[in-house]
This record gives sequence, structure tokens and C-alpha cells, in this order.
Amino acid sequence: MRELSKGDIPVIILEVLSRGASHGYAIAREIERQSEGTLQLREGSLYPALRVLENDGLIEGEWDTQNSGPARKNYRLTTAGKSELEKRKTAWQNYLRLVNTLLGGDNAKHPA
Amino acid sequence: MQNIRLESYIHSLESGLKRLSPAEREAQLLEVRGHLEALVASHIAQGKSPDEAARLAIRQFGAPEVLGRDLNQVALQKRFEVSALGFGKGLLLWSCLFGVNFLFYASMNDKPTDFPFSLKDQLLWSAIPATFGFSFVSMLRKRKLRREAG
Repeated sequence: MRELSKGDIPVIILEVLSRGASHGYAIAREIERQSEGTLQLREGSLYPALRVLENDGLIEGEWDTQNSGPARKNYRLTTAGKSELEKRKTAWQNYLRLVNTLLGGDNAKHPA
Repeated sequence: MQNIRLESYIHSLESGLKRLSPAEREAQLLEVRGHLEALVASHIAQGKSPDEAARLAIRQFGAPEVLGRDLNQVALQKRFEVSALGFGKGLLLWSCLFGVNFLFYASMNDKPTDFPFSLKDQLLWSAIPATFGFSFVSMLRKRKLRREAG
């Protein structure tokens, strides 16, 4: 079990929302499902991240008043959010490749 | 039936959300309540008692003090950025007005002698606010980019 870093939460939210509109509880369940329970998330920490993404215009929230149960706020990715997600995914993949190289991965440059 | 643990959590969180407007606070509490109630229902469906389910849900969600602190920080940041951006744009507008006035005055062949500002004054009145205005807007843009980069 590994705790999900606070800094990684926004990009993971963007990725989950890229597959469809969701509310906070559903986003938490999707993260749990995708990580097969190995990534531990303090679920309340989703909400400050959702606020920041909403303030930056990367997601839009809309209240859905259900017939039964509490009203839920569903979030969806905006056009700016889709573009930002692609940028962050590319940056993350580049970072992983560099770290892999530094840690002696397949592309590591070995001393002569 | 109200769950005492949940109500206590919501009350604790509510009293900590000092930087949110009343409308923002109400909306945020509604969202948090919905999430916690869903967690409680999920644990009850797995055979836990309502009290145990609420305890587990709260542990899974995180302490209200920590959540409140983080939400306050986001609200404060948003207010600062909106105010600073407004101030920066105000300075830029001010400098544009003086800048246009400067260009108009500089282009006149027969300058009026009773105009209160010299050319040098007008240049300063447009250049200094422009510098501050651009600095504010640029600083906000850098903060936003740094935040997005994580």
C-alpha cells in the first residue's frame, strides 16, 4: 500500500474525468479500482484539488439533484482541461523516462 | 436517522471553513456530506454497524481540520489572485490612459501652456503603473504555471 502524493491528485482527477463526468465519491472509487486498492487516498483531499481545477477552468461542476439521496456535484473536463491533461501526461512520461535512465534502466549510459 | 459521528464531522469542518463565503461553505459541506454518506452506506452494506461504518468512513476521508485548512488555502489563493489581477489590470488601464494622453500631447505643435502635467510627468505616470501592472499580471501567471506543473 502506498499513499497517493498530494501533488499527483489533480492530474489523476483529470484522467478519471477524461473517461466521463463523475462526482467526488465516484472519482475515489475509480482510483481505488484502477490501482487495485494499492494506492491509498485520503478521500477528502480530492475536494481541494477539485476546487483548484475548477478555479483554473480545467473542469466544470454541475449539481445533479437525484430523486433519492443527496444532491451530487458532477464534474466534467473542459477543452482547456483536456489540453492540460495531455501536457501533464507528456511531462510525467518524460520524467519517468529520465528517472529510469538515472536508475540504470535499459537506456542508461554506462561509464566507458 | 442522523449519524452522530457524521454530524460531528460536518460541524467540525463547517466551523473551520473561515475563508469560504457562506454560499461556498454550504456547497462544499453538501458535497462532503454526500461523499461521507455514500462511504457509510458502503460499509453498512459490508455488514458494519452504523457507528463502525461512520468511524471507518471518517478515517477513509481524513481529519476535518486538515481538509478545512486545505480548502481555506484554496479559497484564499483564489481571492488573492482575483484581487491582484484586478489591481494589475487597473494599473495597466491607468497607464494606457496616461500613455495615450502623452502621445497626443507630444504630437501637438502648439502645446497649451496651462496643462498641469509636463511631458516628463506624463511619461512617468504611464510608465510606472505600467511596470507594476505588468509585474502583477506576470507574477500571477507564473504562480498559476507553477501550480499546474505541480
